Amino acid sequence: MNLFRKEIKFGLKSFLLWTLGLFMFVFAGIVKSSAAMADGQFMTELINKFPRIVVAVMGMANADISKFAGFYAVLMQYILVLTAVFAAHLGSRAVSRESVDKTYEFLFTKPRSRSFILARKLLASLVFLTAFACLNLVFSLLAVKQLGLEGDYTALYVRFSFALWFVGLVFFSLAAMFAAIFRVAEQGARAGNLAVMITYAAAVVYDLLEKPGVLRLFTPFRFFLNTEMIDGTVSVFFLLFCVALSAVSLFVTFRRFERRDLGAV
Amino acid sequence: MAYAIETTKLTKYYGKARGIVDVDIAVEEGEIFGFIGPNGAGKSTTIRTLLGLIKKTGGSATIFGMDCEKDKVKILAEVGYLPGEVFYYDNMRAIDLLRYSASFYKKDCTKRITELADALSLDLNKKIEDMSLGNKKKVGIVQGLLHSPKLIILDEPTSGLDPLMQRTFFDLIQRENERGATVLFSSHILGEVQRICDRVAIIKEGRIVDLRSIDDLRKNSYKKVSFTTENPVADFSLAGAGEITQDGSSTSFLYNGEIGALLKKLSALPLVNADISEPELEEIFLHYYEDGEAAK
Repeated sequence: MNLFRKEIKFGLKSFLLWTLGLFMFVFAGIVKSSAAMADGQFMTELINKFPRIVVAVMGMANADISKFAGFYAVLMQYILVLTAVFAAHLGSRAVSRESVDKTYEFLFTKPRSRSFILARKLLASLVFLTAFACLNLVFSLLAVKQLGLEGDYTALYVRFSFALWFVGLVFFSLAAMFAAIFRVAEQGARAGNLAVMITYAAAVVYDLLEKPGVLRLFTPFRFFLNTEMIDGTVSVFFLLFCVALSAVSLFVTFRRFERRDLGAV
Repeated sequence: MAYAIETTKLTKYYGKARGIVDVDIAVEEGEIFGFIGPNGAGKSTTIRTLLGLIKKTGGSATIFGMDCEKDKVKILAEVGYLPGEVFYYDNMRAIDLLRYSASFYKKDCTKRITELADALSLDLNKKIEDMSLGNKKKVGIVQGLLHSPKLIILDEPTSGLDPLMQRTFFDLIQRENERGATVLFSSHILGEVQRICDRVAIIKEGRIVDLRSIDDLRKNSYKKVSFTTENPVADFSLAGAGEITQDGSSTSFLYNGEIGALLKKLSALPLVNADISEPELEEIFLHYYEDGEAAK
């Protein structure tokens, strides 16, 4: 059994639990969409009565939930948060699991460099992230099929699933970096989760402002705007920004991990 | 002389806290080298620095002439390591863990795994999480030896093993040594170091305080003397005598000096019984942990 396969085997149970959560979110959400669309005008009026900050926190700012695409985009905001938390969990666990489980003395005294081992751990985790995004697409297709909607929304699901993956990649890389920087695993994991919370708060502020400007750069939750996703005008800049941010974070992760003292935490 | 392990002024600080300071040891190829000191003295820090688990602050460390940090991967292919406390993946069976361990080496270890498991009476099909501490330790021994390493590093290896299994373990290590493996044996139990080691380094508060052969340590330095007199001897004293204890008419002490002077002193006493013997290593060892330089 090689290292990559073992990592896949180890992470499978946790992945299935997260997948179950995704399944329930997508199916329950999409089933609700028919009710929302049926009373479209009423729902829009209801949402407009809420304070803007509440609407922003709920991820419904600038969304027309009377239409399926708008409703799906709001649903994907929740799935995006779920993906971000899952990705942060994957990143931080890939770096610190051996220290937490105290198995580092077994693995890191084998004739492989730390970077070799870390690369395989991160790669296995990325497989889970990719599968998660793919399953979002599959679940979306299956759930919408139940509704018998007119029109083909496959391209919308594909775009959102890609967005999940890229935003997930950013949080995955950031969490891995924090786990490598902090000596205590718990602190690293907390920093990864904090990154999700702070950037989500920034996304809420982004939605509240008329002209948010550069704030978009600080919140991966707004790298891919609902309007752009629905229109199919995905920002190439933010796509590349995701890749660059992840590359820098992973570079720091490898550098720090190679140089740090390994021990039980 | 080719050294299996050589450290020069090897130093490790954890922030401002002392780990080890200026550790110089040279372990010859083929020897069983003891490394003794109490908990917190720096044994594990030295070993973890050698294995590249922690980064040195200063000095140098080589294994088979290769730098412990730069050539870590090449070195680890030749090293078998058994830590004091063993932690493995609980959901794996012993055989799966050992196969996984073997997959890191470029050799078929199947036969060796079976041989070692048989020698240690280890059930390979049992899950790690269902194993006792002793059995987990046996898994540790097998994973440390399955690739027939040229250097075996043992850090407090016998904790958790019953006396019978300890004997089997020592036999295994001695067989590995006869095969040509060098052994670094770290322990705070001096009796077991005394049992199999050729030379020993004594570490105290992060520094090596002495390095000599076991025989030298025992035979050339100290004698354990005890005698009984007809009447209690008041305030017995003799140059070179330490750890003097008196209980009624019985007196005992450790002696480091001219044997003639000792005999002259004893012969002047009204002796009922006298015994001069080799002290246990533990008794000698205590001297290194007395305050000051008196013991040296």
